[in-house]
Amino acid sequence: MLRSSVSGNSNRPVEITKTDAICDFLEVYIHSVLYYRSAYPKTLFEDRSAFGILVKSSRHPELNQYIFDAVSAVKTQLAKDDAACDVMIEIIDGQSQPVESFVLEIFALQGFYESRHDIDFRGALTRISTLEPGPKLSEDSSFQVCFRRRSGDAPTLEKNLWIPRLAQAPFDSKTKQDDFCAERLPAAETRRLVPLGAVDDQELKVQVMALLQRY
Amino acid sequence: MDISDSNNDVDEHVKEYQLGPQDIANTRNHNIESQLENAVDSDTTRPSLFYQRVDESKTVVPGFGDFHGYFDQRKRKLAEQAEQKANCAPKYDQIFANVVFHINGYTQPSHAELKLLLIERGGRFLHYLSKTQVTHIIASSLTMAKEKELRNYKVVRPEWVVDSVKAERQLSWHKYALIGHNSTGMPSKTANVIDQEIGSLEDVNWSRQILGKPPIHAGLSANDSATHRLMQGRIFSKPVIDRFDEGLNREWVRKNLASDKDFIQRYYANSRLHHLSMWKAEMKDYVAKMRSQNRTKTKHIFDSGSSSALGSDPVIMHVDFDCFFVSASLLLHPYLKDKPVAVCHAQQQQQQQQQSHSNSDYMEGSSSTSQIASCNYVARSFGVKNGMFMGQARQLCPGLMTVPYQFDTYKKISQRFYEILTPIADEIQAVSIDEALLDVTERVHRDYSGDVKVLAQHIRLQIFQETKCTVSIGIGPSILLARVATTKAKPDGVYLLDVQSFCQLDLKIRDLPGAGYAVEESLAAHGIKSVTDIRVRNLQWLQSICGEKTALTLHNFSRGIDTRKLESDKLRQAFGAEIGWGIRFSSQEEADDFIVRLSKEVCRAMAAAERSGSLVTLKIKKRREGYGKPGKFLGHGICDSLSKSANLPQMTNDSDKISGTCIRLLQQMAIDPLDIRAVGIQVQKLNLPDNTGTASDIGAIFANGGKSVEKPKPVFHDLPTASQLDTSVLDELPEPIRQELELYYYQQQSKSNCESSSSSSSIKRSPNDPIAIAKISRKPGSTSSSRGKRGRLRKLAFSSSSSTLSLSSGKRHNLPKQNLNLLRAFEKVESLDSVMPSQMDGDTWQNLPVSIRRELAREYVKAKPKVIGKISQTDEKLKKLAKADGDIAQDTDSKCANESKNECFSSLVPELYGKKSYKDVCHLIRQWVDTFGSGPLAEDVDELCLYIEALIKHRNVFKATEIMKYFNFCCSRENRLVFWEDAITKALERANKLCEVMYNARIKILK
Repeated sequence: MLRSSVSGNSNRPVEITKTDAICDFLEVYIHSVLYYRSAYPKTLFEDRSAFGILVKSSRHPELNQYIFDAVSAVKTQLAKDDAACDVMIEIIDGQSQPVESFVLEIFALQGFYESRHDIDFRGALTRISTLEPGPKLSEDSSFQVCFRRRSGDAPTLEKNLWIPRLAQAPFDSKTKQDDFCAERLPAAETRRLVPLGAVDDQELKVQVMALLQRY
Repeated sequence: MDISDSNNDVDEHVKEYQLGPQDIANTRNHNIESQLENAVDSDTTRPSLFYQRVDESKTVVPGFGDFHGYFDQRKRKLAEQAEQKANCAPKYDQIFANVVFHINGYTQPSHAELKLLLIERGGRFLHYLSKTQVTHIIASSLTMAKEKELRNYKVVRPEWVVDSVKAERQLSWHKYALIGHNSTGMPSKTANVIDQEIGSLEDVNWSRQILGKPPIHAGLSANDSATHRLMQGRIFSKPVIDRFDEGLNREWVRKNLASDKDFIQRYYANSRLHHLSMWKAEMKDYVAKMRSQNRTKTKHIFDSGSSSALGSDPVIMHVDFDCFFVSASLLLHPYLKDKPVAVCHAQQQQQQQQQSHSNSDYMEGSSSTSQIASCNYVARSFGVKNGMFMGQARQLCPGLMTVPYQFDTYKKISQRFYEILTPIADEIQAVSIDEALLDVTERVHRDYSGDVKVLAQHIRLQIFQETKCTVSIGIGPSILLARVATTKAKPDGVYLLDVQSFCQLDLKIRDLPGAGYAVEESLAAHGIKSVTDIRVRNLQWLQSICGEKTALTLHNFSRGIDTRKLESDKLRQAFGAEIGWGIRFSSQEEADDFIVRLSKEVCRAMAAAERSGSLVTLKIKKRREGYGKPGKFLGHGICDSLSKSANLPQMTNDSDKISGTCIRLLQQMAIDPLDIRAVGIQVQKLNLPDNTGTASDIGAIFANGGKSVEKPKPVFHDLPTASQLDTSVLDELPEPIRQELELYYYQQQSKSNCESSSSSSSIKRSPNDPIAIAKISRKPGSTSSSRGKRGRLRKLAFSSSSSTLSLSSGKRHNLPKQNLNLLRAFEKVESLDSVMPSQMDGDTWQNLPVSIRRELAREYVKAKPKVIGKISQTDEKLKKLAKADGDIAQDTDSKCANESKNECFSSLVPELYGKKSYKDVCHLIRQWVDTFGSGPLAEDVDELCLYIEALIKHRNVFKATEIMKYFNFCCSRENRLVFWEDAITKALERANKLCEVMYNARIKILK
């Protein structure tokens, strides 16, 4: 559910915290990924406005609630003083093998968000639409939102402990229990990293990227 | 740039659109629905402002092929559609044939209606304004910026179209011009007046010929020139259009206008500036000829180039007549010798009248706008100056006598002057009719045992005996100093100036050559009034005020440094003629006719010199909007200068070809002929003169040939003087580049020995061994300057670098040596910047200045807490070092421990040779690729790879990819790919290695 804080500059409070801004973005990001990667039928989505541009948003209340909960969970993590974590949206097939992943790496200090970063977020959102289409997803495919804390080191494969959010996604019959990405990684040669955008500032650093299946 | 996807088959249902960031910013307040429609309906004929449909899924980055390719296609398509529309429309008279128009902004009638009206009647419509194609721009109102941008185009109000359609013929656009008239929507008053005046001529064919330009910009057709001939008869019976009440229609004024047949000849006969420039050119040729004769006679083998290699300072003399025009004129009027005298155009009779009625009203004369070309020292003591208006001068000095120009005498004296000087000088540059620059280095040492003053007096005596005119001579080690010395030498003296005494002079900025009014003003605004003020400022500061080149010149000049060489054998580079007086055209025909006559004049000079050229430039001064009658009678007043040039297909000095080109250029400028105030034609890119001469001529050409071979030597305009050089930086440079630089400084030193004595000099060195600059202060393993390692980045190396900056780059540079395994390095620390101190040996550490040591320690300690367990051994070493430095490091230790967590994320943005922002880095890369056309140095590639890796680790893969793409783009231009492919592959490979580790995926860049 897109809250009013992201639905256009007129409604937007003058000062929102960085954490809020990032979570707003995350929510829009998840919706956009689901729409553009055809995880759900296109008809499920409606037009909304966020960060000053047109975005797609799901109309399904359960799905929205799931996304909203996931974002809230991230927010509680971010609200702690150590505001560094990575979020990954994984589109998974029937065997809960990841098809495509969309990563959001976050580092934010406390404080208010500066709207000049809007442009980078907008850029990231629009670039999702320019990605080449992914493979045809099977009926039982779904998605999950994973989360990992970051100690400050750059991620490496060994430490790649993604924690999926276990609450079940709607339209999905399966439950995933053991999700350690490192164990079921496809070969790097077949995966393609497409950076979608980045905010690079002293106090706010966000990186958005897609990990596609085909190289 | 091509992001990403190799796969071109896009699913039909996924429409993919790309928004540039700026576009996105615009969309905020726009109706989303309509945007969407625009975007989805790819066949819409209207250009979508917000979405650009992009082939497949390619990201558009400005400056890249895809974008242009797309727009080219689009434009073609739009043109086709317009054609179809025009074809199925009913047939109208093609009154707008040859009109290429563009509609800007809101119009009444609407954009679409106008377009239809125009296209149906033969006009061609441009969706996107192409300034080379468009003939008319239609707009109802323009913003200030647009108005400024488009002021040289025919911007017309839409009424022009409507009225033309009603009248069924193309009306003159002047009535409807938007720019330059009040844009209230009513035809402006001025235009109306003109219209009435030419009312009698207003017949369908002619109105276009007179006021508007022929709509085709392709020169005059046979038909046109028939009209042209007819016109001439008519125009002479027509009164001249006199908009500003300058009295142009008075009989004698008419004769003095540019439209008069004999105007050019008469103008040239009376213009002193014309004579001066003509003579300058003639004198130069004359000197060159004499030199070649002299050379064969005396078998001089010395050339200024080789003379300096002998190690002696150059001795430059500036020989200048004292108030040349007056002294020469006084030869005929010796009785005026002790009276204030000026040379100007003012009438002798008038003056005598004033003399006889000395009590009569002088105010009559005070309005005279004739300029004083020269005045003697008696007159100067009254405050009269060269260039003053006569009227003003009379007020200062009522008894001022005027004598007319005597061009013949001047020429005779001048010739004699050069005849005397040429054999004396090793090198001579004819500056103008009455002054010359001499290089007498050889001569002084050979014949005058180094006493230059004796030589100077000898020259003065000889000139005075032969011409009865006095000259002053300034002597110095460079052109600058010689010129300044001359001002001290005047009148009738000799002055010797060296750098030390130059620096002690209290000079105004205006006294420096090349510093004019504008520079003086802009510097004065920053509190700089004298040359001494410039000296205390640094170069960067100056450059921020008055531009890179001027600032560098000023900077050097203020220190008495002038590296210019005499231009003795320089061939004439251009032929031209410009007339800025009496230019008042009433019609396009008159203007064109004048151009024809002026180009004949230019061509005659070219033919006389047996030269021809291929680049024609037309210079026009256009009356600035809002200024009416100029201050000087029939002068050009306040104008905007415009110029346009065209390349000719072949070398020519045929006046028809040149005038044809100029007329076309004038048409392209689209200037109202009534606003033209000055016309100039210049022909450049000249061929070499035919060398069918005598043996001596061949000798001259030989000499020239030898010179031009010398020229392509590397010239580093942006290099600092030897005194500003940071020698440690020089040491760090790769061998070939250092040698090149040292050679350069060696040559510089022998040319101007100013550095060693200059007050700003920071390095002592023995004058005999300039190479010592580089050698003396070489320190072992200095870490602080490795950013200057790359030849291509010379500029960076010399800019005064703060220690922090150079430190961080130093660290990065050290990294690959100690740890090739990036993975491991990566595990240890997020920021590579903090690894460095561990690789430094104790000696180097001790040799560093205390401040740098502290900074290093601080930097290191900041990063330490994270890595403490891993680099234990080196860490201890560092601790010891830090301790040795006192407690500062300890303090920072505890403080930084708290910050460390945040530090690791927000650590310094990676930088490439000090550049951080995407724009700067791209600029740097571009320069790099452009400079190293035949492939990069391995270490540069290394540095770039490191930078890209640092970016990825810094969690900005996006920027890293963008930069790699830009790099790829730079390299793929101009077939550089052959040499650079390896570099790209290497950078990508290393980036991918890292990405595999971090994300188990690879980046892809389309090549």
